[in-house]
Amino acid sequence: MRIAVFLFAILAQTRIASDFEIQQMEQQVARSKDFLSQLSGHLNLGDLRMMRNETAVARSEYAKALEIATNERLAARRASEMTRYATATSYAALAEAKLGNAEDTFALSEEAIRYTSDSAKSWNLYANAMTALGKPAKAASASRNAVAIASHENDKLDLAIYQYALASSLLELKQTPEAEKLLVDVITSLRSESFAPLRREVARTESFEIYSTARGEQSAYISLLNRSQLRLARLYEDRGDIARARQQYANVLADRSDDPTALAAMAHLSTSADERERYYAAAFDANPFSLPLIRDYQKYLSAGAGSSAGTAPAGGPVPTSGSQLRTGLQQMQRGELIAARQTVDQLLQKFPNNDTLQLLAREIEQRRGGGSDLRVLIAAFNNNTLTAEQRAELDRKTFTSDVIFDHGPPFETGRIDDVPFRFSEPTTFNGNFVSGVRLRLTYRVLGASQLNGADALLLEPVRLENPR
Amino acid sequence: MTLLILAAVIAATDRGVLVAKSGSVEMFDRTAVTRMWSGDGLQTPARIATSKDQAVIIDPLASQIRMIDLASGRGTTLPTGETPIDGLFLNGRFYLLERDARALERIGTDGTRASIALAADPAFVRQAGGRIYVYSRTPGVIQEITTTPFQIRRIVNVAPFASDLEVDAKNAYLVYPRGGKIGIVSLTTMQSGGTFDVGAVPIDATFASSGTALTARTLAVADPSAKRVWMVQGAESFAHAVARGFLRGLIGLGLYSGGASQCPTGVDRVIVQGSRSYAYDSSSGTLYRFSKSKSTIVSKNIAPEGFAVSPGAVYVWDDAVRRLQRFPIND
Repeated sequence: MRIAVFLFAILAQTRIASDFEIQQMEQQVARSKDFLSQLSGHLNLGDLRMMRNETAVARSEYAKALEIATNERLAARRASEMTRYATATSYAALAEAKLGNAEDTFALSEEAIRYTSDSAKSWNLYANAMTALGKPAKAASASRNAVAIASHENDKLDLAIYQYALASSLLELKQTPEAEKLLVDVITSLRSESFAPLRREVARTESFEIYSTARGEQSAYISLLNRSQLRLARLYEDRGDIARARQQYANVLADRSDDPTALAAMAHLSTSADERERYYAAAFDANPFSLPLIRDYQKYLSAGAGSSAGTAPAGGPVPTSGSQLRTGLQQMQRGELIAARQTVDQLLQKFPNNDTLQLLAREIEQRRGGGSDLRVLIAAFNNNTLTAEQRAELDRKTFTSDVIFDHGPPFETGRIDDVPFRFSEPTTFNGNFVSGVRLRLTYRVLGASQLNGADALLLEPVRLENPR
Repeated sequence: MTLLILAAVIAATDRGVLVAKSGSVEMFDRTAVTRMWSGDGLQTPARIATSKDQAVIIDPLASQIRMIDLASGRGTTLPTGETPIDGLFLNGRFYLLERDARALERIGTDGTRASIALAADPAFVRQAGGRIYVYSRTPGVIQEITTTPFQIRRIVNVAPFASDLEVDAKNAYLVYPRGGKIGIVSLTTMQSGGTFDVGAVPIDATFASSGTALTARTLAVADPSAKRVWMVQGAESFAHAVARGFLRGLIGLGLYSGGASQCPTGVDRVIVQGSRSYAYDSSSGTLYRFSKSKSTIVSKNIAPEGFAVSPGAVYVWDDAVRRLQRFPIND
């Protein structure tokens, strides 16, 4: 059985697996009890969870993979099956690398290669482990060994896998020309007549799943073509060759229309607002939890762009998680922090272990609680942390601030710096005052309130004056 | 947990026992009780090379070395080419094998550095007769390097993918786990001298004895698959073999001893110190002392570089109690 491990370190920032792939791997782990099924299942589940920023669950999967590999290597050693021992040791190294244990990874990788330095597959696993540790020079060296060995063997798919791994490491080392040539060679080879029978089989079985640890020729072919095209597209994009980058991303989407990396790239490479909106919507549907996508979208929103998302018409379909998240980001952009928190909380109920959602929740809370003394006061009201003595003192005190009313007279809502406030009822003051200009308000603080979905202060007005 | 984790790397030196741990290095006297000095170390030390006065701690993961004066403990940390894995002292200079940089670097005591490019995947560096020999594993090449001038002198193509290299004054021996063979290369002619079969999966070898009029030079070969250390005789000249065979025939012995020592678990490293032989099992972290007839456990749960064998004792770093232990020799 072919089993191919792909580098995904860079792509991990954007490549998010679909629910379908997670479901497939969970079924594989439940049904197949052999070593490679169990191991690849847990490694893939870890990678899929990691790409969704579900770190705790991902680490749990990697720990299971490590346990399986460790048991296998010890059993193989007891049985004096040294090749089996070396293979299991390589996978143990890879699992350690994904858990971030550098010293163990290196020791295990070296141990495996003592026995199987003639194996391109072992060198490829070594390279993958070093990539996971962020050691591209070591990874490139190992990949060169894999390519050198495989070039004497008659397996074009394996050779392409190792060339892709080498190209990935070279890109990290900024050795772009060699990397580009390798990626072009890999894609050309995969699209050549040599792979026509495999392509027909892929089409016949309607296979589309992409895994970092691919089992079988079809899965390896699909995953490798996807990753190679994405890498080449990114290379073109970084170079500013947008047309060729878009072409490669389009090729990826032709094979798999919901690839989140390609969709996100097409969004920020779009030439029109409509196209950009469409790709953002699709990218968020494919992967709502990609931080690079979220940051990119926030930058887009801060430029004053972005249509509303996630509002389900009555009787219409339930909004997707992607559109819900876009709604939350739009609410954050507009300062509607309470509404944004509610949106994120709804998603957290569906995805409680998601680090991205927890990060956004923290960011919202920081914005709600930070920035000024008034926001601290709002947070204290919301969190009910004021003591009875503090409340009594607040009741007695009056404050004076520069304010701008939203409408009126009569006046009901406005802002003190960037903090919204409202009165309990519309109020008219003696004198000639208008909204939209700076005025001086003396007031008591009654509590916290909401204004257009954002935190606000509830004030009792005492006096209004023109500023001095 | 894996027993391959290098909690500490140990080397027995002329001045005491050197213990390199993450971020620190300590020198103990030979009783393993008194700490003579301590100092800064490297983050992930994996190997120590020593001379009479100096030691070099090697960190392949961080691609750094720390050169230390053994008397005072004073040291200097230097960046290296990618993945330094081994080194040796020769004529007062240090030679460092940088595997992923594919280079052999010469570092003088005054800090001067020079480097020569090697074939791909240089995996082992050894010295004999004032020359350095590097085996590059993936292409299967031995390069002979002179120190003055510092350059490659001769190259021989051999079988790739050996797991160990040992050299003596006349020959280089390569261990091939996949084929179960030892390959011999004459250093005089830099030509292959053929191969011979050893066990099932030989992985590591060391010289166990020098030759006599009755015996050729003996290699101890660790074979984890067979759970044995094979004692095999190395290359000899045809004339020497005929003469020795003739002598042995006269006194009624077979030509080769064919001896092997059985260990309870699969051992993959072998160390010979004088008349004493040790074998180590990386998977269980067990160090054995063995003879032709039996093996006994010296220590368990130790890392591959976490022990050192000296003429008077075996030193083991016990990470559980974080101290150096000394096992005296009882012959």
